[in-house]
Amino acid sequence: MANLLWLQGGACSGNTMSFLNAEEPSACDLVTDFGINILWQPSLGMELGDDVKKILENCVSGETKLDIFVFEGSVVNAPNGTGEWNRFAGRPMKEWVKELCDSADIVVALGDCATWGGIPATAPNPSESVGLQFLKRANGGFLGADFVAKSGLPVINIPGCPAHPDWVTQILVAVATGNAGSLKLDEFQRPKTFFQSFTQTGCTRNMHFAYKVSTTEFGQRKGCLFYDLGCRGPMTHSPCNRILWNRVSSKTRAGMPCLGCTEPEFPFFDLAPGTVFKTQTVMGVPKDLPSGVDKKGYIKLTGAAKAAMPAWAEEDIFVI
Amino acid sequence: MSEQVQTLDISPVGRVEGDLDVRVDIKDGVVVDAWTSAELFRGFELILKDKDPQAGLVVTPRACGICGASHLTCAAWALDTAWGTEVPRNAIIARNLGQLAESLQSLPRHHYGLFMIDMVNKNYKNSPFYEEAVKRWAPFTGTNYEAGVTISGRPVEIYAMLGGQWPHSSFMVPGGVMCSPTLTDITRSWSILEHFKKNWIENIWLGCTIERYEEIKTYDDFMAWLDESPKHANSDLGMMWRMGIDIGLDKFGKGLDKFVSWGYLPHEDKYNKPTIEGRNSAVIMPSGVYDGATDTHKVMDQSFTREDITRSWYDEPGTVHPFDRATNPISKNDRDFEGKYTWSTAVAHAENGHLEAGPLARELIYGGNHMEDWQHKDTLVYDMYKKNGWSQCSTSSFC
Repeated sequence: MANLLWLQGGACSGNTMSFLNAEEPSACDLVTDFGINILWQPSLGMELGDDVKKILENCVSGETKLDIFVFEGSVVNAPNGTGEWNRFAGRPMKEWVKELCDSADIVVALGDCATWGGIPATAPNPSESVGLQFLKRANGGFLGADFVAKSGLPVINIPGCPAHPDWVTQILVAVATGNAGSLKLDEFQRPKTFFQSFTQTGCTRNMHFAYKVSTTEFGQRKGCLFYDLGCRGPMTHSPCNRILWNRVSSKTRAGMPCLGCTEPEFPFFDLAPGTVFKTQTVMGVPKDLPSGVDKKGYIKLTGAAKAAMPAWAEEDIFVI
Repeated sequence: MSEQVQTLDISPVGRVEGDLDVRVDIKDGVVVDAWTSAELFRGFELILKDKDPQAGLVVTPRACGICGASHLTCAAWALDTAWGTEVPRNAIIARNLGQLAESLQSLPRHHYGLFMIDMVNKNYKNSPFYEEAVKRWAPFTGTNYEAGVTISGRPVEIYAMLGGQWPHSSFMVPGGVMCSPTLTDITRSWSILEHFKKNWIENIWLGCTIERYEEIKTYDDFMAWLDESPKHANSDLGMMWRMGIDIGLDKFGKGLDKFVSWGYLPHEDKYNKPTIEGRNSAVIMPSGVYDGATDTHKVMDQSFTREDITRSWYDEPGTVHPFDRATNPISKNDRDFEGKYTWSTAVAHAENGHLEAGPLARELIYGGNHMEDWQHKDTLVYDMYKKNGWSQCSTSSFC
């Protein structure tokens, strides 16, 4: 039995809603089959008011053992570092977060806002939001770079806007069954089992990528979204095309460019004019190249790809 | 003693998708006044300033995890309206399908996850329905809670086929949508709807076919339907209604008695060239204002929309049209129940004053005669509301 407490700070509840889409295991399975005891959850908890406060206080005092603390949403520091713009159960949420992180065996930051600040931390960051242990790419965040939970592990970051339900449930099962130690984390404290491969891994447009055939307008039934429409699939670490969304698809499969939402910089370029759904180029070469490829290599690769392109690649492939 | 007013502060109130605190004044066991405080400010309006016009398609859906499709729809249509883009028929259908799939998801998720778990509260243990309620609706372990929460993920698989994922896709763009569905997507979507209908709506929620249920036009029809068959009475809807009456949900919940909806679901052949002026006569679900005191309906003209900021932590004049908002947050957000005490603002109408919006409001508006012939009309909730007087707690949960 593992006690789990879940709170939301500068959040939209999107990670909770995504979590509720889970199957194998479902949210209910976690409780009935995997021994996770949900002490309280903002969208699901029975208790209100003082009863919630009591649950939190018992976790902080140690009267209730807090095995897993899941935090969704940014840590709001506004105004002027006080955190008064996000109050919860009678005081700034950030004060609860600090005490609960210090009391928990395992701390999980769920979604971009909790991991790196996410959308609320986009310039000018009106709520002075930070993630639990990062602000964008910078290590530190709310808890500081040196923070480790009681288990000795730093914050486990499950990014995404939102995070996929399977990423959450699988990490929770691993942690609840005592396997947290075998999780390998990358430099941004993301579980490598999900975030070593790329969004492009398994994308149905990979053949078009290989032959440098571009989708030049939305809704076209051919092409790769990387060359013109700003897709970040080749540079983004996520299993979106291996562990499909809502069991059936992914953004790139459906025709939407990957926004790179599992990376700390999301939303990229701070959404400056001209950067949304548009590949940024210098002299016709994308500014951000597929991970590990340099400009010279890219020019050679695409030159060869164009030369080898079969005729079918310019015709509709995903036909009715 | 009984004259004394008792003040109760509830912080937090859960299951409302946001941080909410409520203060109530209670006299003789009755709430006589209430204040709600939304306790989170993120400043999305400020983040969107000076950004790419299409940034709204990425940012605004992320305002809310449970209704992102509604935000995306509004953001996309706003750009189409501003830029004078033409939107093809199929794209309007795809957008509407996305929004409807999201709404279907929220039916079981709201009822089991957010609402009916209150009915298994031990305060209701003397109700004859209590034991059965616990069996069905207890969080995580109730038979129908588990079935309902799990199946709530199915309709948004349709959204994922159109937009790649739910929540938080940006698949609606000026001029249309990003997707071009194939036979696979269409057939699967259709089949998901059939599955949802068969395995939840008809067998668990209604205890009858949708066609039989749609014959209900009045409150009397509804009560007759309840009596018609034990299947109806013991369905989750039947039991929710009967237990609601037993525990007195029909005895409280007085609201403003004035309601608003801006209407939604643009018609695929009537809104291809969107304009602000043309919107009311192009949406399938009609807009409206319903005033209960005079029992009158009228179309909601957006120019009468007002946002009341008097009680909200913004340094801005009291009541303005939303186009004239500036979003100037007040740094020192102390709670002053005589002054400002929340981040949320209040919906108002230049002539009718404050209004309630939401599912009950929409259903009441569909009961009017102010809409065009082809627009959606449905009298059940309107009749229910009138027959039950101002006590709207059970009617509201029904919606």
